[in-house]
Amino acid sequence: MKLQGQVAIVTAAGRGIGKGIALALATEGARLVVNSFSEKTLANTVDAIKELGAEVISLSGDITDPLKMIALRDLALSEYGQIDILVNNVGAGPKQSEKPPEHELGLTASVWDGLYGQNLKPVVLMTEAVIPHMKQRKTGKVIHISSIAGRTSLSDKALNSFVHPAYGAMKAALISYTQTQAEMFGPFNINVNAVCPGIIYTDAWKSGAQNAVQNIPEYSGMDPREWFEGIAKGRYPDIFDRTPLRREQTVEDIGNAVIFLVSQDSMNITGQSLMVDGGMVKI
Amino acid sequence: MDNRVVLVTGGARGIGLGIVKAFASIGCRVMIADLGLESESEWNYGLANKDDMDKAIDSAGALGEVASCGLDVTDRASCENAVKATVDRFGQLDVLINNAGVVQTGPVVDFSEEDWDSVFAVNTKGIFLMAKAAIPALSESDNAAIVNTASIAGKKGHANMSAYCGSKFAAVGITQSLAFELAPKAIRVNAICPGIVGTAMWLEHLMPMNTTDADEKNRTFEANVSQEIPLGRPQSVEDMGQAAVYLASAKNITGIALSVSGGIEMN
Repeated sequence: MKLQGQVAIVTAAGRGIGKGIALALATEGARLVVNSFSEKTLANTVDAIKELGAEVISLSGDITDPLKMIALRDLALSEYGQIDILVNNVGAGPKQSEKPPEHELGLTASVWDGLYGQNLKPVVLMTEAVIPHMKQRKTGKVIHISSIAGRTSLSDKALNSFVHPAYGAMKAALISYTQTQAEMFGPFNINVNAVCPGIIYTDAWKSGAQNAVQNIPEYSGMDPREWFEGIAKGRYPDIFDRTPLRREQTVEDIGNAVIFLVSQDSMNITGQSLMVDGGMVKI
Repeated sequence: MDNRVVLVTGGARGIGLGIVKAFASIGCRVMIADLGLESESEWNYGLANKDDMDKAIDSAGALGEVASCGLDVTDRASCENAVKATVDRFGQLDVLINNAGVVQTGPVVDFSEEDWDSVFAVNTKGIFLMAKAAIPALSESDNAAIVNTASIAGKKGHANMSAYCGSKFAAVGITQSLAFELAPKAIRVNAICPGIVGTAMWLEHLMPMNTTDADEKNRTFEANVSQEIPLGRPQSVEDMGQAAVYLASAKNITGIALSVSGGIEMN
């Protein structure tokens, strides 16, 4: 096992990619500190980690709240005494704002504020919460979960129906933040890298697929799962770029990428944004 | 990765040997392909000789099943022979590591046409010839991969390094093109971009140096490292071995050029 005894915080670990990462770290012997907004999904993740025989503690609630971040860090330190790995997996697409300002820029402003608050600010603050501890110990691995949308522009149709431009902008900012942090914390033996997942059938894409078959006339009546499979197979060339390997990515792929980037195997890799996307974006 | 067959060009020394050992130690069967020169090389620093080949077999052989064959990647027949020798010996080929490379530096006005051609023949045409020779065998594998050893010099230009940087930018371009071309055959193609590794290429040529004194060489090397690398330490051949193993096994990654440089290069 590559991470025996190491302590890893994973945010937004209740479902999808975050859960996949937490389980992957658990199989390598890490002790997990996991968070999810929902108590119920968090309990599922905790059970799955325990089934793998790994140690785990958890804290549910809104990880975009700085007080929750501090509490999560303090929980890790009081329970395990150290933090070796931080995986910032928090992130989300646009949500319906409660009540946008009524002027003509109100809706745009609220969507951008919302995506900043969901995707960039919580990563920055959570990292700030943990970095002093890592600097003091002169060891640490930080992973930000970015996206293919942070590395390339998508088609107009994809931007209109599936991925808000602000989401790409925030994920691109994470790539910049990965690089500046790698420079700043390299002298403290802290590696900072990003993983850019491609298209994975998580709950986010389940609702994306639902949306496609309900609201885009040419896909009307299709089975959502079947429609989703068509993305990697290249069936919608005017919406999505080709995926050369012609298959969707999995949460296990992202878990494996994170294991590689937080293990000794990559001790000299820092500042990188690793594309795990079947070749859709070529960097 | 158990039992997979890996062919490593330039596998007798330095980064190539690090890659050979990484695969051998996880149960792969590895063909070490390198020049194995009988006499002194005519290049600006020593290239792999017969003694290096023997030592590689000894050190990697202690970790797993390895064999060796002579290879000049600038020669088409030699490339075809290396692939044939691998399949004859191990019955298949799953992973090709195009690691053979040479460096020559100097201002363009003084740079000889012969040296320019030599650098491109090994670092660029070598990848083409080896891929051409290996693709039929790789197509038979159910999880085939090619990993090319490019360089951080393949991501940013440097003074006095037009030939080397040019050849390594080309290596990245070939990596991306082959990734597209071979995806339908389920062959993944990626590159690693090593930073500063204390191999013969670096210590005997790339490091600007007016001394032959070993201690002073080491001091200069360490000074370079702490100034230029965010993580403040040189990279190792083991780092490159682990990166190559990861890329050879990551089933949904293709077309990337992964910098393993302690943060020197981030794009």
